Parts: sequence; structure tokens; C-alpha cells
Amino acid sequence: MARRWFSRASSFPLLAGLWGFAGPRQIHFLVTLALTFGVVYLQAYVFARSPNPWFHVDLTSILVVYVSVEHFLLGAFLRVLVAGLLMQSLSLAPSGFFPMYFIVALVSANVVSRYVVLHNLSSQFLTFAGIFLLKFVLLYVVLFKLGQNPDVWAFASASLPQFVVTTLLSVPAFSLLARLDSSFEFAATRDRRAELVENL
Amino acid sequence: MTLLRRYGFALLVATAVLFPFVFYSSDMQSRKNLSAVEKVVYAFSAPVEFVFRFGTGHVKDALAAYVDLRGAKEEAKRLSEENAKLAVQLQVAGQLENENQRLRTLLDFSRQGALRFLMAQVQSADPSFLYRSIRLGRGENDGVAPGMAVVAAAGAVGMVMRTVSDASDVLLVTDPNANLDVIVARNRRRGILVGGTGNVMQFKYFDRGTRLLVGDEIVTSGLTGAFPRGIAVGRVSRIKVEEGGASQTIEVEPSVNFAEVSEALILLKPSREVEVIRKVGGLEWMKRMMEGGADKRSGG
Repeated sequence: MARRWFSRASSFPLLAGLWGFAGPRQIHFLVTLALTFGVVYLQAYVFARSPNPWFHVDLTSILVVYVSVEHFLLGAFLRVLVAGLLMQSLSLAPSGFFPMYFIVALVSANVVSRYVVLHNLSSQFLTFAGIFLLKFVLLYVVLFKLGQNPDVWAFASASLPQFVVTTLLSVPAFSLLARLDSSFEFAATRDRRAELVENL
Repeated sequence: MTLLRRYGFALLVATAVLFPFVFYSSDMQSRKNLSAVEKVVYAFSAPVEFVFRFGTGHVKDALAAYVDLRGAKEEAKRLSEENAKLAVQLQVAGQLENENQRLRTLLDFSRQGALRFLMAQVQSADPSFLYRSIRLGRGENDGVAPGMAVVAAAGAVGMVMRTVSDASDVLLVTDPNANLDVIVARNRRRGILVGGTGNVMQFKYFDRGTRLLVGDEIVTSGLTGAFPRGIAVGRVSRIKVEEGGASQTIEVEPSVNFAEVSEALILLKPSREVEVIRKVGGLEWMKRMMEGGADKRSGG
């Protein structure tokens, strides 16, 4: 029912007309941008307030990987940059960390998706796990550079719950995001991209 | 556009390779304020954040109203009894305050400057899950500045690290980057607490010969930093002596439950006189002043 509503909403000419200038492509971009905002604020206002590390789900990283794999590069880059800048403005992490991490994640996800079929569950799982592991490595180097010299095992054990729960939730979240995308008349999936390129 | 399509990925790969080099070679100390780009992002995202906060606030309030109604009658009775006990304790404390002031006057101590507070709502926490920090809904426009102390009813919360026009980020005392000058309430021995993994703090340094017991109350010393003396910080929860007894690890559980804190008090700058005495003179100077005053009165 939700899918029908979305596809009707995005293809209804009057709605596009009401928006003034937005066609299906623009509506899709704006909705995914709004989703980015929502995910970042959900992470800051709800998950981060929980003292239990098993509730520290890094939804933003999951969204970044999905966007990197399933969208055109320019659109993905813009969304990823917005997510990185939003996270940066809400966090005390050193300036530039999140844009850097998300751009590295974007490139890594793109490279992996060229050689690995990401609609297979196990390959999705391993790809997400690899990219989240990359985040902890980058974070560890930040702590080291700040002179904290954290113990590797202490850092790993403190980060483990977040890593496990985020990786476990990444696969169903990926499917949910794919369903949401498929509700739109315009969805820049890999197949569509190929179609559009052929028709140019 | 064709060039972008052809070389766009290569450009992005180059950015992804170079960006970390530039980032890690820069000065990474936390800044007191957002950078120019971050300020622009904050300004543009503030209306969206307001809508999100408004919506989730209403949902939270509705849920809390339902949960709070259950057992409200018993809670009201319990609070009424507690209020009566506290009223009596307040009267006793008032007497002690008067006596304290008389003694301070006799010893020629200067009066501690009156503290000014600003109430602020806790809005969000650090979404990186790495730093333990919270964002309060008061900022530069309300006179908040980096370095100010933040407390709750239960005790010390943290210190303001950076501010924007209408919000400020507070580093919690349990964060590994946080240091706090404290004393043990029982024996007045001084030490430095730092945040650690999990929701506990650890003593980094303490006076030689200090003997601590599990359950000892730890309070702020008021000698350095923005916290006045006597603010509850936590209680000693574990003492682990290393093999051979050469060193020990002392863990302190914070008195504030950070997950449940919804409002906090920001301590605005104390009076300049108190600040100067604390920062310039310190404890030794005050001791000398006391000894000098006592000698004068005894005629020695």
C-alpha cells in the first residue's frame, strides 16, 4: 500500500506542478535528502542518548553505503557530503573526520560493488562489515594522533557492540531502503543507469 | 559533463586517497567553535532539526505522560514524605551555613562569589558514539562560553566545549578526554579524575598516602577549572590493586545518570574576585593568608 502511495505521489503531475519545478528525479533526490537528515537526527536524538552500547546503531553509515552503491556517483557524492557535514556539525569529532570517512566509504563501496554482486546476502554482509571496520580503524588513528594512545584491545572491546549491531542491521536496512527507492518512478538503480546511458 | 562522467570516479578516488593525508596531518584538537563550513551547515539544518525535535518531543511527552500516570499516586505520597524530611534538613543546613559564615568572618576569609545559573534542555548526544557529549539548547546568545561548567541536580555533568548561537556542546565527565580536579569528601585528599570506557571514571593522580574506600564520595575541589567546590561527582565503586601492590586502579561511578538527564544548569562565570583568588593564589596562598590572619589576632 505504501509502495502504491509513493509511486502515485511521485508520478502525479499535479504534485510535481505544485512543487513548481520538481520532476520525479528531483522529488527522489529531495526525499532521499530528507531521509538523510532524518537518519542523522534519529542517531543523535535517540540512539546516541542510550547508555547501552548495543543501541548504538550507525544508521548513517548504512545509508551512506546504500547510497554509494545504488545511486549515480554525483548524486551519491552530494548526499554523502550532506550526511558528513551534518554529522560533523553535531559531533565533537575533529573537523573533517566525517566527510573524510564518508568519501572513503563511498569510494570503497563503489569499488567493491563493481566486482561483487551486492544483491547476495553474504556479500552485502561482508561489504558492510568491511566498511564499518574501516571506520573504527580511522577512529583509532584519530585517537592515536590526539595523543591518547588507546589500548587496541580496550578500544576493540568498547567498539564491538556497535560494530556487531550495525553490521547485523545493515542487511535488512539495505532491503528496506531498496524497497523505498523502488517506490519512486525515478530510481537511479544500476539497471536504470544502464538503460539511461544506452538511450543517450 | 562528459568529462565529469569520464573522470569523475578517478577524481573521487584521488580525493578519497588525499583527504585522509590532509586530515591526519592537520591539527586535530577540538576547536572552541564550529568552523565556517560547519556554521553554515548548522544554520541551514537548524529549521529541519527544530521540526524533528518538535515532533519527537511530542511523541516522547505522550509516552512519558502514559508511563508517568501509572503509580502517580504512590509517587506523590513518597515525594510528599521526602519533601517534609528535606524541609527539616534545609533548616539545619541553614543554621550550619550561618555558623560557617561566622567562622569565615572570624578567620578573615573572603566570601565566595554568588553563582549564577542558566537552565538548559538536553537536546541530543554525539552521533559518532565516540565522544561522550550532549548538546544543550542554550548558546552564545544566552551568554554561554566554552569552559563553563554544567551541573545537574545529582552532580557534575561536564564542561562546555563549543558554542553556537543557540546551542552548546558539553563534554561529559565520563569522556576519556575529560579531566576533573576532585577531593575525597571524607578526608579532603585531592586527585585528578579522568573518564574511561563504559560509564565510569578513574583516578589518574591522587595525593601520596591517600586511602580510599569503596563508597567514598568524590566532590569537585573548586581549585582549578570552572566547577566550584563541593559539587558531587560520584562514588568510589571499585578499587583494584595491581600485583605486587605497586599501583592501583580506582573506579568512580558518576552520581549523574546521563541517560535520564533532560535538563542541566550551566554555571555562568563566577565573580572576578573568586576567580582571581582561585586561579592566581590557589590553596597554598589561602593557607598562608589564614596563618597570617591567625598570628595577627593572637598578637604573635
